[in-house]
Amino acid sequence: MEQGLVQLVSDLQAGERGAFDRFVELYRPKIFAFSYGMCGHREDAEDVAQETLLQAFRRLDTLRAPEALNTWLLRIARNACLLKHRKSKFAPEHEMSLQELMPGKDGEGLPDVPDWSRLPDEELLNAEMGEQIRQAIAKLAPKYRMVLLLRDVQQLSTAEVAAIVGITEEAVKTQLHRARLAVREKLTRYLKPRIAGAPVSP
Amino acid sequence: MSKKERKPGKRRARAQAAPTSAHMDCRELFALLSQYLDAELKPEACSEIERHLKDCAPCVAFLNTLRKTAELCRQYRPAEAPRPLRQEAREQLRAAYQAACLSRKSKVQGSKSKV
Ligand SMILES: [Zn+2]
Repeated sequence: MEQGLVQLVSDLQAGERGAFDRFVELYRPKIFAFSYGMCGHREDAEDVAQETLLQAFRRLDTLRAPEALNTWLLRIARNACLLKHRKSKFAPEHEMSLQELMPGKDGEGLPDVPDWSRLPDEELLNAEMGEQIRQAIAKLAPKYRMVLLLRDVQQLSTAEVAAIVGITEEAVKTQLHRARLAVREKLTRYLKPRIAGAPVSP
Repeated sequence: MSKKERKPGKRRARAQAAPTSAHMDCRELFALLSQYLDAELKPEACSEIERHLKDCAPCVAFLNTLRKTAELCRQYRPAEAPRPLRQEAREQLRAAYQAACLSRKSKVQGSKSKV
């Protein structure tokens, strides 16, 4: 994979026949996966993917290290997303405090933490849950959504995300944690009824 | 750990003073859970957390569900895929690409002719 990537970038920069089509074929869906997560609309996400590829070709010279291709593209995509959303109304940025993300208390004043993590895969990996996760991510304020998409969905490192977003690694960690907490909270509300009567597994 | 000045003979009482967090409470642990899951904490903090988890069932349940949440996000792929690239959009991209190749070529030749 890594070898293929290096080859692809050098073919692309050398103007080799077929490199353009291969690159677009491979990276358009990847950029779309990110921009769709950020925008939530297919049309907007396709626009962002197009704008990203366009910018990428225009700045092809500035890509020095082929292994940085992913983060380089995502940084361009991130900027394209921000531009897109400056025009439309974006949900106002809401700072989430840890306090508001702490688990609630049950009737006896004990933390109410239903453990749904051991539900069988059929319950956690189905299309309905996919939709719940999509909605939970979509409801996050943009800055949290961006970090969660890059870090967990795209599986980039803390350092890579910091470079793409232009914030410190500490800030990436803080925002990722809050984003995960908020998604966990949503999933818990959805899954809680399913484990209500079920015996707790050891 | 590494105090620069260590005066022999003068045993400070400080050594016996409670460490900054005698026992990590649920709230402190709560703030660190993602870093714990991502193996971004120092070993001391990890063992503090593990000590707390030994007898705090709600925190264990919380950690389990947070771990699963991150896992589900990692496996998550949007159900939608982009529609096939329209011809005019592809042409727009190809034009930008070809322009970049041309300017690159002329730069390379420019630098070669200087040598
Ligand atoms: Zn606890």
